[in-house]
Amino acid sequence: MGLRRSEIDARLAELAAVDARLAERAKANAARYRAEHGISDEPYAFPTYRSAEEKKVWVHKWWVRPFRFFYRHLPVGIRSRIKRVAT
Amino acid sequence: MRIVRTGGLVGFVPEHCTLRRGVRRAVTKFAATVRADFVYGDSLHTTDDRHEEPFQVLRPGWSPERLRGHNYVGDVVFASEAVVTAAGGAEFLASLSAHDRSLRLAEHAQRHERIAEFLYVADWRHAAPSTDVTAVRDHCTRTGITATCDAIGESAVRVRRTLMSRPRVAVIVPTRGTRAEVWGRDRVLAAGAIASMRTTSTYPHLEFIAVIDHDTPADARREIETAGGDALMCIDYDRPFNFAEKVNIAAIHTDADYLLLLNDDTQIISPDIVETMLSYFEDHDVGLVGPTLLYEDGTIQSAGHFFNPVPYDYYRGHPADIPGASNMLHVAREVSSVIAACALTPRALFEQVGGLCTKFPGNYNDIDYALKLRMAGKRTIWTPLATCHHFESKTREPVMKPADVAELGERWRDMLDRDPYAHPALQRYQFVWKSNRPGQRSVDEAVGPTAPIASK
Repeated sequence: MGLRRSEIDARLAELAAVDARLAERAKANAARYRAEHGISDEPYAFPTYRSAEEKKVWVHKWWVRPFRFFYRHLPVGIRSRIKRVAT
Repeated sequence: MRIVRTGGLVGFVPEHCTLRRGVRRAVTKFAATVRADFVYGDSLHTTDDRHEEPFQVLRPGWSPERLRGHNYVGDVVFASEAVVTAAGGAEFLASLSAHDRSLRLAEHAQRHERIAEFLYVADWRHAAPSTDVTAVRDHCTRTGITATCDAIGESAVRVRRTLMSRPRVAVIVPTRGTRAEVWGRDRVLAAGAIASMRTTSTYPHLEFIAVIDHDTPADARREIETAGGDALMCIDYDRPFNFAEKVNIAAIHTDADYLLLLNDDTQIISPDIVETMLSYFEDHDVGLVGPTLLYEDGTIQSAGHFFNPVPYDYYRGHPADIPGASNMLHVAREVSSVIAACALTPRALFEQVGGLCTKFPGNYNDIDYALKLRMAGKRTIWTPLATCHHFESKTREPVMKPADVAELGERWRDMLDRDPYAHPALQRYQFVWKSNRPGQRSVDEAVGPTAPIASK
């Protein structure tokens, strides 16, 4: 099934056109999602570990440290009861 | 067994499970919001140590292939009155095993949804998904799936589908004739990949297309041609490196029914790898199937991709025999994408979605392809029943280009942020399925942050 270069280029262009059509749809969906969630239009980069965790894991905030210290030094029975209520 | 009714939904709560406070209201509201008629969620499991807090079982979104393997949806499920009636009625369903009940309800439901909330508390003995091999056999009969079902201990049911036809498969091997050492022996990688497929695979209707860079050494080219023999078509590639374009060029040179994308740095392990992967296409909404990929040393290279929140290979670097969280590595399941190093897709579908996108010359073309398929309503399946070695990065250094990442995000930001087969409470930036709730045991076990992969 030998194809000439012009035929190959034409078939590749067809595939690229289909891909571009689907990409337009995908980009519209992504833009809608960004608008709904207030995400900026800056070029996407993978979020880094640090930036994600600082936002999410509140127990690591500096002001929780004294509470964590106090909690850790409670008797185990009281700690387990607090955990049970909290979860 | 308790049967609870709430807001048009019927919930099945076995004796060993306790519904958490507020669950009925939460499930009713959730089902009404997403218009679901089958709802399941997460669970908490107590241990024998009364001071230890319960551990968590988080569940992925709707995965019908996985449900055949084991009852991953948990012991407590909710379904609409109509679905329950169609499945045989509440009393009848209450008398069945949890796996049987879930399968029957799922068959009649139209919209299956996971609520990311803890629905119930149970003993640690009920944390792993239950299995019922007889129920799976009956389910296959009811749904017209021809398959042999065997129990793998108590962890899973292996559903091996019967291949009903023998379509032609074109094996596409893009290469630049790289020579490398594998298991202490120097070899031309592409020749090894083609030879292993020709000698090990039991599938009869294979043809091979090698897309070879024009600067490939003559001796390497000869070895590739010898390995492929009469079944091989060689296509010269004289353009700048673009893996996606090489695959597309190969695809337009064949009229085979299926395309098996195979990197040159691979070697198949399962003799029935092609038959196994083909069998999933008996379901017409399957668009892409990938096997388990193993490194040269036998550890897992990929068990499918998930976005956590960046693309990761499940359980990369872990021993091949580990079961994974909730025995997830024992069962075939839906994933967001699989690596194009070894993946099977129908040619017609490949053309329908425009092939691999050439804007991703090296990385992420497989993820982009799988997400295009999802947009077209097709599923991507990873299967543990087929295995293949992938000597990754033998051919080039993995490099993550910001332009590729930006293009991926511009197209698929919504899908990257909300992977339906992951969970919002997973510990992020990990190769493994772990909870991220503060105080959770798995957090203590965490190995720390890892860099995102450069998929190939």
